[in-house]
Amino acid sequence: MNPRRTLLAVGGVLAWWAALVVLWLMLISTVYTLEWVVGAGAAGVGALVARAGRQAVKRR
Amino acid sequence: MNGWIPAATVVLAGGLGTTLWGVSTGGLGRRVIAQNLSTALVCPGLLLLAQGYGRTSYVDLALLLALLGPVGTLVFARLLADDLAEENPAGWGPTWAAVTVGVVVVLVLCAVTGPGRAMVKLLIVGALLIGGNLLASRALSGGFPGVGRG
Repeated sequence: MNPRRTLLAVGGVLAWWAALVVLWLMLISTVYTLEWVVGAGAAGVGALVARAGRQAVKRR
Repeated sequence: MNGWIPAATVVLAGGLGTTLWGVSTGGLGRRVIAQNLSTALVCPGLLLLAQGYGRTSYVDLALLLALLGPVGTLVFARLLADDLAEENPAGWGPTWAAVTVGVVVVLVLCAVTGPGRAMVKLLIVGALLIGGNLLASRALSGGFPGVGRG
């Protein structure tokens, strides 16, 4: 795998993760540490799934 | 009792009542469109109830409905693709009416809520509601020939 594609993939996942964390923070009622941890974790899973979904659509 | 509860009652009774009537009578196209619009009208009703009762957790229900309603319609559009292909039900008049109700309710609630995360949440619900509604209506009217009818 060439470095440029790796960089793009990591960047894409990070962008998804950041957007999903912001979404999480907007949708909860009170922001505290545990919410940050759970939100960051869920956003991580979501970002990976989002990338997998995009790849699946591209391959069609 | 405050002004929000009667407003929610009007939206729920008028909107949900009309769409239930639409779902239970007429041809297939009309029923599918009414089914799509029912969630689009219950969602603003729930937002008004959340404001009326002062319970922010009702906003989560509206969020869920705004997300899952159009998804449900897309499932119908896919499953009924062959039957819908003959009539391509458009129903843009009722769709835009529902969109207008959604826009007005969300904007009024945003003005009352004031700037903050709660307002962003309302705007997210509104965007999902309106975007999803338009997308679902377009799918029903055969707007995605390559995807929806596959």
